[in-house]
Amino acid sequence: MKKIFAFVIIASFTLVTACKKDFLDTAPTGSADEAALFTSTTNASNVINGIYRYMYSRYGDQNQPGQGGIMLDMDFMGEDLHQSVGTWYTTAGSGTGGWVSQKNDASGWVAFPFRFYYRIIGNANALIVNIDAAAGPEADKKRLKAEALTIRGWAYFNLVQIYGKRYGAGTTNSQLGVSMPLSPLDLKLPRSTVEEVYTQINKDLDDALALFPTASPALNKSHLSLNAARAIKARVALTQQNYTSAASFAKQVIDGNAFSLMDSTQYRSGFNNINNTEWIWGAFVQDDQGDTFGSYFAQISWDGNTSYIRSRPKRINSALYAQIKTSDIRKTMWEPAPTATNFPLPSTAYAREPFMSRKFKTRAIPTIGDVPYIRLAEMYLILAEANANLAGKEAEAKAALFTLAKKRDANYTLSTNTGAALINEILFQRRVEFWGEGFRFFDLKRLNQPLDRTTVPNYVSASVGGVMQIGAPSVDNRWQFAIPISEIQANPNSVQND
Amino acid sequence: MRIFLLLLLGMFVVCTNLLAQDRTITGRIVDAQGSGVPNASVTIKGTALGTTTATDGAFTLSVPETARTLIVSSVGFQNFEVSILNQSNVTVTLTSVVGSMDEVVVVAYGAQKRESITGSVSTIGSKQLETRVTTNITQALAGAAPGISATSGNGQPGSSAAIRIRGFGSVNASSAPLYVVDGFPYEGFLGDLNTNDIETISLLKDASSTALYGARAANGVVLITTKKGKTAEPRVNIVVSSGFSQRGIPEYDRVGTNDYYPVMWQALKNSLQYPNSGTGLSESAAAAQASATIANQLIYNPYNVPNGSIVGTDGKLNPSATLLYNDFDWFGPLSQNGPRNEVSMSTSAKMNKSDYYISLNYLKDEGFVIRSDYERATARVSLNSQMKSWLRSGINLSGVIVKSNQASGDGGNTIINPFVFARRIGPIYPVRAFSTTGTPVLDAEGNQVYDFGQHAGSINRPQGAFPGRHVIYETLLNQSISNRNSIIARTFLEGKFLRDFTATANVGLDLNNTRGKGFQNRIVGDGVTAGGTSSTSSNEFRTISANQLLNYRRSFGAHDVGVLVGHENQWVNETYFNGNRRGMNLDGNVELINFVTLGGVNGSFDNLRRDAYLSRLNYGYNNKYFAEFSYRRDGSSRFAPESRWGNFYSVGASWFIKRESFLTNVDWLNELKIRAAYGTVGNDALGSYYEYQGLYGLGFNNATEPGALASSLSNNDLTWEVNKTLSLGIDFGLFKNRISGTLEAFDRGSSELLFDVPQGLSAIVTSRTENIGAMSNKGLELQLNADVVRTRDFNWDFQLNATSLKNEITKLPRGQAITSGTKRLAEGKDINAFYLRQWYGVDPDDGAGLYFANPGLTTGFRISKTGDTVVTNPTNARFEYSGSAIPDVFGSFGSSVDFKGVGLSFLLNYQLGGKFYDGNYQGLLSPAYGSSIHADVLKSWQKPGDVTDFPRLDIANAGNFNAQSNRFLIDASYLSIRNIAVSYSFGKNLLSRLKVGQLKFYVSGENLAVISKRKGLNPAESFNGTNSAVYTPNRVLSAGLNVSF
Repeated sequence: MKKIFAFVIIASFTLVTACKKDFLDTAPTGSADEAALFTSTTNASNVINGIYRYMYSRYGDQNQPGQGGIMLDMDFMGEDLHQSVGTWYTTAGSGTGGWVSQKNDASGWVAFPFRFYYRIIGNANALIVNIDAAAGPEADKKRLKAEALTIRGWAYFNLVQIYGKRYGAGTTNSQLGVSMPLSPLDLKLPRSTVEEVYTQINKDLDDALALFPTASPALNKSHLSLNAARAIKARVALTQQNYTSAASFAKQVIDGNAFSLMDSTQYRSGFNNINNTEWIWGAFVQDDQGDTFGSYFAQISWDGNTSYIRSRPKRINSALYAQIKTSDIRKTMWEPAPTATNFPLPSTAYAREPFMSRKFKTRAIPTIGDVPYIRLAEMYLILAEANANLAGKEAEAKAALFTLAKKRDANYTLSTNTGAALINEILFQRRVEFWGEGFRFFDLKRLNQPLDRTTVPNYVSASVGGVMQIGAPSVDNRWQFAIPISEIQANPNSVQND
Repeated sequence: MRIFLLLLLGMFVVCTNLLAQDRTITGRIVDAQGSGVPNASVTIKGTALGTTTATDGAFTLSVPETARTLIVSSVGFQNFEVSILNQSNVTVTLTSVVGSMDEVVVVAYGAQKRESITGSVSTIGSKQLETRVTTNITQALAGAAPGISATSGNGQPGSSAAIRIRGFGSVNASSAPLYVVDGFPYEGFLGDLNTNDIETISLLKDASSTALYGARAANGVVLITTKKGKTAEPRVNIVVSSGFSQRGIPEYDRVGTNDYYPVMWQALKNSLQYPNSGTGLSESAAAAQASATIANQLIYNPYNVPNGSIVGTDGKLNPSATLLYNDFDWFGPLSQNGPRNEVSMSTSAKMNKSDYYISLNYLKDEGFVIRSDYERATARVSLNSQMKSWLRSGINLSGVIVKSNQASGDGGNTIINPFVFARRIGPIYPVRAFSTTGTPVLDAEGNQVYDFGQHAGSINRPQGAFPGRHVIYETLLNQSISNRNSIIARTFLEGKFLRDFTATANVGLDLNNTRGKGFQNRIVGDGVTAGGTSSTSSNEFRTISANQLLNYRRSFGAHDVGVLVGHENQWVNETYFNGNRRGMNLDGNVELINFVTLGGVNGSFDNLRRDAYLSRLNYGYNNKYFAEFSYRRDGSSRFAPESRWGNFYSVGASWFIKRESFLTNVDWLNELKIRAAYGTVGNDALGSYYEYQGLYGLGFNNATEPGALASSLSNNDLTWEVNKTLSLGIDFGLFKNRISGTLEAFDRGSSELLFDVPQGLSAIVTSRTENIGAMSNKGLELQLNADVVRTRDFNWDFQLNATSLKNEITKLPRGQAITSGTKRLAEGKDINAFYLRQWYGVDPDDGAGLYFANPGLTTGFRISKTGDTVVTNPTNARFEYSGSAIPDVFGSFGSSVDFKGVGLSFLLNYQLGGKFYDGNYQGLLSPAYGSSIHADVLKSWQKPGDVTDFPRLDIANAGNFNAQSNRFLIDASYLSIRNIAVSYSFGKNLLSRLKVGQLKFYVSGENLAVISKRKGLNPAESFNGTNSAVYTPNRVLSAGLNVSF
């Protein structure tokens, strides 16, 4: 008996004590090991796809649906998109449309674009640094690297426009831009100047443009492509007031004939499908990948069944609406006097308000829809605006404008405007065409134009805390968002905006 | 070996011979009040023979002719020797000794007499728990011993209170103590333990007592030991209690219905008069516009006057305005007196070679918020058997079934959280729907419908009043259920050999299968968008622990030696699965099959492992001098292979001075002991199991392509956080132990602190876990007990404990401070030091909220009348340290009186000093259309010249004027009436006629009141002095009955 007992005790000792050497090695299933991820191009594709997914994931609050949320916030800072009462995007706690929280370094609306773009940059950096050593076809490596470079350039482009003072062509642009980590282990860097940031943006885009032609083709339009990189390059050049370059890249995209402008039926289909022939780059959202309340369509669609959509119709600047020709298909995107007949809604719980929009419609329940990041229409408008700013190119400008405008309005005739009037006509087209797609703040800032909401008859002053006028970007420091407090506190090299 | 066996057998025979029984002694053991003392041990001096007393204190014992003396001992009483020469019946009255050194205390891997303990251990016995009606045992730990601080817990039935022992051990790793249940670290839910099963709770506070638990004992250990059979006569105990829960802390004072319109009018008018850009309107123009348009922003008009004339241009409510309806109490329909009923039954006995304890418990505790409850059934079997003289085995097995409806969104700032919605909705928005003329809106059945924005003719409330949502209706229709099946099992096999050796193999198993069920209806709320949603989640949490211990114990004359060596390892597995579907088919069925479209499915598996070698040496000399050494080597899978092993040790010594010859004749001094201990323990309790690894989080799929994003930076140097404690204590008992207590000083330092070091928002991931810095907690603890009256019929005692603690960060890398939230960690400051923008006051000219300006500001500031540079934009405000959340002194005091069976006791918790950042109050001060607002805004600035500390109400500047600053700090001192109990124990005569051992009735109140500096504030909500919209703690009133026979 004693022996059996001794055996049992000793056995249990040895059984458990004789743990294998790797007893304490464990690995997660919810995450992947860094080293393993960059061993092959197949695995490394995870990182670029992770970035695209992140772009339509909720950042923090429900009205921060990634890139779509930033697009809306930028438009709510303008005068063309507004709501009848102070609510999401317009009150200080839930957006910057009231022009207060963008100067509050502790506001989540200051941290949101900052962290959002830097997280994209950090992951793109990891891909750029590691992809050359991965196993796999050279063409795939080139594609991944080109996509990562393009998205890094695009992210810095957004950051510098939001946190830096505007780019002024012909000046040194030595004002502070943003810090520029270019590798995953670049931490706590000082802010580079606006000029340095634009130099890097252009370098990234140029590097990508050199890689794309021999890279493997993108699977779908959620991926950045040669044309998307050209389109971004055109945007950047326009912002830098480098009109020659802007016109050149916009034209390259148009001439590539890979995309075509929407017809009237497509235009009224809700801006929710990446297969639309006009889309160059967009989010590609599967039906099980939506965030019911934290999606772009949970904010801006007219039919999503959320309390925000039901109760707060998004309205257009009534003065801008008045300028749209009746024959223009875009005029039907808004309803000046909605009724049950001319604007049927899913249920009586939906509110109707004058000038409410029906531009964006959900593709699937609950609030699923793809998000348009770049459309071909923009290339025509960039080509037109750039040429209108170049001596002797007005004819080309009018021609580009005509192609787009004629598609939207069958009665459109070639513009007879010249000079400033022509440019204004192009900008009017831009405002109508891209309502809700995130252009207005950036356009005012690059054009150094003040914001004036007092010219908008249906703008409700109380909805934005009475903030109706903001001086031009060159004189009013509110066009530069504050650097988030958590960056200032963690990064001793960072400097706050004034 | 064979010789030994023969020897053993021989001894057995000898012993058996000794047992030649030839006379019987009967007797009764009673306490000072004459009540029988159950479970007292009665042994024959010089032998191992003996018995234990029955419930009424009676015993019967056969003794050999040679027996001269009986020794009577019982926990909580002094040992007593009684002569049995020429006696066959004895009655012994035992004297109780508070803090007795003979008490046996459960310690790491065993039990020790209190006299030999060199470390710091506090004990709570089942008696103290008897009248504490708590669903979760942690609620009873607050104030139970010095050095213990506890949060108030929360009102969700079954939830745990957080406990800290002697300050804060860590910054980012856990500072919670290790819970050990019946010998093994407990990984389950504390709410799964039946309080009635608990025999003792030992709180191990210093390194000497905890070192043997090495890993994770850095923050102290709470040792919970369940009951075992102790009486020869089988004993049955039944406990029944019944009561109800109420809200324990009142709501903040908010502006009432008739003040709301005028207050919001002011906020709109001021924004027009003092705009952020351009020139403002004149006062009269601003007032006129505000009067004309305020109703457009607030949308609802509950008055009998038109929208444009609710508030006059004088800012006052139109005198002829009367309410069309009055249905604005949102808390009312959400609240209830939640019944709480519990019944427990146990039976136990100790037969000659086996003992058993079997219990059943059923509890249903409904919260004071509707549809929140906790229903639990537990069963426990504890069975131990001495199979052979040298072989013992036992099992302690508990099965638990829990079903709990959860109040939604607790602590989060979400609409479904009743404490967000009901607190923040403006007081002009009715619960039920009314037409614009004030008539109730009825449904087809004639019942008034809720005002949820989706009935015919409804209008949407403004954003601040949650348009289209209705927390009451949603709470009634939705489901949020957590079901849990748990098994807590402990088993051991123990053999003695070579006389002084004991080998023990222990195995412990904690299994928790939690099934979460979420249903969101399609009528109102989050489920509407997708036509009703249902989700099911499953969390399987499995911990297997095993240890093998070898004990040696021997006395050589005056020398007592004990040696323990052992090995222990632990496997923790977590399996997670979750699925959801949308598009409800038939009403009433909330299971997944009744939903049309797949929403998503997800799952993962995680594991954690630990391995350890441990040893301890105890030495005692002459029962006066005691020393203890321990050493433990721990490995954890949380660290990289090269960094995962840590070595921890402790040394301790105690001197029982009272037993020195020079004190034996000092009658007034009954006990005097000093002790000192030093030791180190480790901490690996990080948020994730894989903190050292550089990882990319899966699941970021882009359409059909798989995706991942960087989630952590690798750190192969990451290793154990080390906690070092020096503890010096003195235990004393005076005047026949009428006054007794302990005074203790400790210095608890942590080094290699596990820190989430912020990398800034521009980095690939925003923080990286590193071992940096060091911290210390220095403190004094005092425990005092006084038996004011100690007679047969009347007893009155009093207990006080107090702890003073000073925390200090002693080292940070490169001395660089780390700021996050309301705190900044810096050398020389404490872990909960507030670092906030500095509020200056209100500008009497325009009512702007002012902050002290950040030095070096060149534009955008004002110079105040007293010459200070101030700003209105908080971004430009100066930060400064502004006190700490750590109080000066905290503790508890209590008293109990017993007169002829009538008992009265109370326990108060207190805290003096410390600051609290009242974020709930801050939120209530910022005006927003539709949101409620604190009554203090009635003191706001209104016209130039007003001197006040409340800035002008201004809808556009609400964020700037009410930004996070030291303005919202408040003194955190409080006094909490934790428990009051009144009881009556029936007298012996009646009981013996009823053949009942004990019969006791009691009425008990838990968490009766909290006295703090602001109505609505709960200063005990957190240790770091911040709050959120949590389920407010409850007050429980109950009556109970405890009977045993």
